[in-house]
Amino acid sequence: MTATANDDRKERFRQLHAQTYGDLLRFVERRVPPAEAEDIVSTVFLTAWRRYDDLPDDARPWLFGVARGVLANQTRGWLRRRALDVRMVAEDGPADDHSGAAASRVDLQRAWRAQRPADREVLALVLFDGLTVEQAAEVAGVRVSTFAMRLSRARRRLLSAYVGTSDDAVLSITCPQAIKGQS
Amino acid sequence: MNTDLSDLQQFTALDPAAEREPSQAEWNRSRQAVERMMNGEEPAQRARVLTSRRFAVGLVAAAAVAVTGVVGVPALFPSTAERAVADWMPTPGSLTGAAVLPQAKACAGGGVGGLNAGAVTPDQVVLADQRGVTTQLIVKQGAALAECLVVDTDRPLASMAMDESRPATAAKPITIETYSSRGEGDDEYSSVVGRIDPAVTGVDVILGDGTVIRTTAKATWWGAWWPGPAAGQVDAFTVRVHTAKGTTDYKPSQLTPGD
Repeated sequence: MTATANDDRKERFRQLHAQTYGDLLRFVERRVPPAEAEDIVSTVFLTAWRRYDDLPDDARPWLFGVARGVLANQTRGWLRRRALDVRMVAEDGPADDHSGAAASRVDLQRAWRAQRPADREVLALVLFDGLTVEQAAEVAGVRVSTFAMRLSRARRRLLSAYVGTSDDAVLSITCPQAIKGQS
Repeated sequence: MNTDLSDLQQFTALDPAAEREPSQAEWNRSRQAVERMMNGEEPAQRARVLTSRRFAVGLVAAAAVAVTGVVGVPALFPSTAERAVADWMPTPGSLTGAAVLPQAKACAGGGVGGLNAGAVTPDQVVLADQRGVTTQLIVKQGAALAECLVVDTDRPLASMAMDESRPATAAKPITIETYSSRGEGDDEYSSVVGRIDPAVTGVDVILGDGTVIRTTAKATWWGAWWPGPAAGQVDAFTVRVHTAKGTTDYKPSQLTPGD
């Protein structure tokens, strides 16, 4: 590789880092304690640099997929293939001035916590990480149809748990892409 | 394909990273790390390296390497694992849930397994195995269940979500849920966690050099951790199970799910 080509490659990688670092840090911090996140993100970028030629045009899901593999390897040696678990905002997190809203939050937390880790992960990829079903399937390493089926089941179970704990399970209308403002 | 999740919008309030933006210091560290790796300075730049936790099952390990291509992770807090290993002892301390409540809260504070740190109580500590400054914990809160290694009272070293769907039985009185190793050189350590039937009166881990490690067994769980790589290798240690009928030795591969 010529020096110029190498410089171009480095510049493109700097741009990739600038475009994805924040998203990647958030993705990782949703799944591990914040103190561990920087190391994992650093490892993902190291992997991406070493596999530069494999990077697709839409690199964000690819990086998330690498992060998911690093997390599985880093968090513990998992004897069987298991879903990563997703953290939930702490109950002593952002204060809520309205007691009704606080009560609803407790219901949401209770319903979320009642789900299986695999379901939480499927839901979080779309709801928290802002991925489309196609992108989330790539991150999870499964076919789009398989992911869509898992998502549908997880959604049904979560809503069922929520309706079972809440008196006012108001269902609002917003598409998931609009929720996170991403495609 | 219906991908409309509008009815789940309310759950985005639970996103733990919704408002998270990297600080300027984090941006700077990450940019510097990228520059170093592009200049080929990794991993030589790292003063100390913690390798990724090695899988005990070769097939899984191969898959993990294929996915990640990871060779090492820079350690921000190398002294934590180092102190844990340095203070290790083969016989664990006997602990109550109340005695390790701070560690249990630290375990739950990581958010792994769906635990709520603010609601942890002593009776939720299913197992606590303390060796030196490090405590291995299993904490159960309703359906939420997680296992952690915590150094001192507040430094989580590792954690993972668990489930209770594979209990031991009279026919198979002991199982292993997970075993693995992490670290490198003097910092390397192994850990194992599994289930036991009430008929089991004790469990020891026997390393290849003959070292006997007394594990902690409580209720339906057992666990231990120790310095060295044995749990990152296939069948590199023996599990000795004591019951009223006698003693039986197993290789880890005999105790894993599906065997």
